[in-house]
Amino acid sequence: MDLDNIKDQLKQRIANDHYSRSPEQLAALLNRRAGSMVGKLKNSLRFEIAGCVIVIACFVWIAAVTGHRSYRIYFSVFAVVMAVLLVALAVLLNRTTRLSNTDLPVRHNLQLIAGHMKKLVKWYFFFTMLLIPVCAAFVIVLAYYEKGSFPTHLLGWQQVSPAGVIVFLGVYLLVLTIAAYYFTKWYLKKLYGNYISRLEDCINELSEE
Amino acid sequence: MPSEKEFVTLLNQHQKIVYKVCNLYMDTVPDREDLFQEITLQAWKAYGSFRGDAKFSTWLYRVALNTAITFFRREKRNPGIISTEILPDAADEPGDPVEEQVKAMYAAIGQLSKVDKAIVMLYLEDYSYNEIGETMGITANNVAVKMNRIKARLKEQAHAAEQDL
Repeated sequence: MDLDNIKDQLKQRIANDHYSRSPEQLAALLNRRAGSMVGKLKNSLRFEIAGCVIVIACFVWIAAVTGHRSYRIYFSVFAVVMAVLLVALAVLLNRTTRLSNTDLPVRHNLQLIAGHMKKLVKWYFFFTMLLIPVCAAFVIVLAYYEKGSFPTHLLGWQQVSPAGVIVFLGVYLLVLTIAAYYFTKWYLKKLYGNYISRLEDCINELSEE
Repeated sequence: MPSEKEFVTLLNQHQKIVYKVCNLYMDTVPDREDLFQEITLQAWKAYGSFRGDAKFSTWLYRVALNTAITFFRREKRNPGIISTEILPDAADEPGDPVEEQVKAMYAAIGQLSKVDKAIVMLYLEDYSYNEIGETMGITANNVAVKMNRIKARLKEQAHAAEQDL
């Protein structure tokens, strides 16, 4: 039994469907929301941008109202860092919006989407991991020079030496780094990892001879 | 600015292309509906870049296949309504050899990878290896090699399925 021998019957079978849509029904579909992965990626980026705006607003407010110089420096600096992140996210969103080139040859389209998503994941992970030592350095330096600003009363500590604060912060940040590393990896894999692997499988299948 | 009316008219004339892709790539009715909607949306978004240098049908196939291949769904516990195409058709004459062969071959095509399904789809639509290669972004030679492998695999699987039926 050959594919060529039953080509016409197969074509008819594949084309068989329950009903045809009217032009009005087709027009109604154009206003729906896309469910593609690229569409979900855009929604995810919009959500992150909104989150960034809220975080910047909070940081600016804290820097404005706090009485501690160290807090003011910390939150001001990271408001600027978040503003840089906001710009980067906006650029990513713009590139993702232009990504919907579904009329490209299939292999090129897959490579474009997979490449873009891999860059996004790599960049996101790198930025998250970079923030931890930057935060750590800031917190340690500021806590050391203005130890009165460290909320020891929240931990029930009455008298804490600067060295004690630094040790505590060091341990805290080490645990945070390890947790952030594994959580971020898991989070990104859950969001995009499986999808990227499947796209790469398709690309490899097209590329092999 | 692309004209929505013009696009809808063209899509209405060629909607069978979208149905064919949906039927080949999705097993259940709800999934086919979702994919149909997704292909329609993506085609509309891409319509602005359609310059008319290729046939609309060829362009639509490219958009539909790109969308179908990149359309991944989570595995569902409840498979939903299975299309009646997969179930035995009571109206078919029992033991009609050609119909049995077609069913077996159709089931075997359903087991192919997303990439192979796209190539078979275009082959069944009488596209040349050059045209298939242009759509898929691979060489005509690569298409020929893949088609030979696909045909051999389909023959084997369809034969095994036919014996089961």
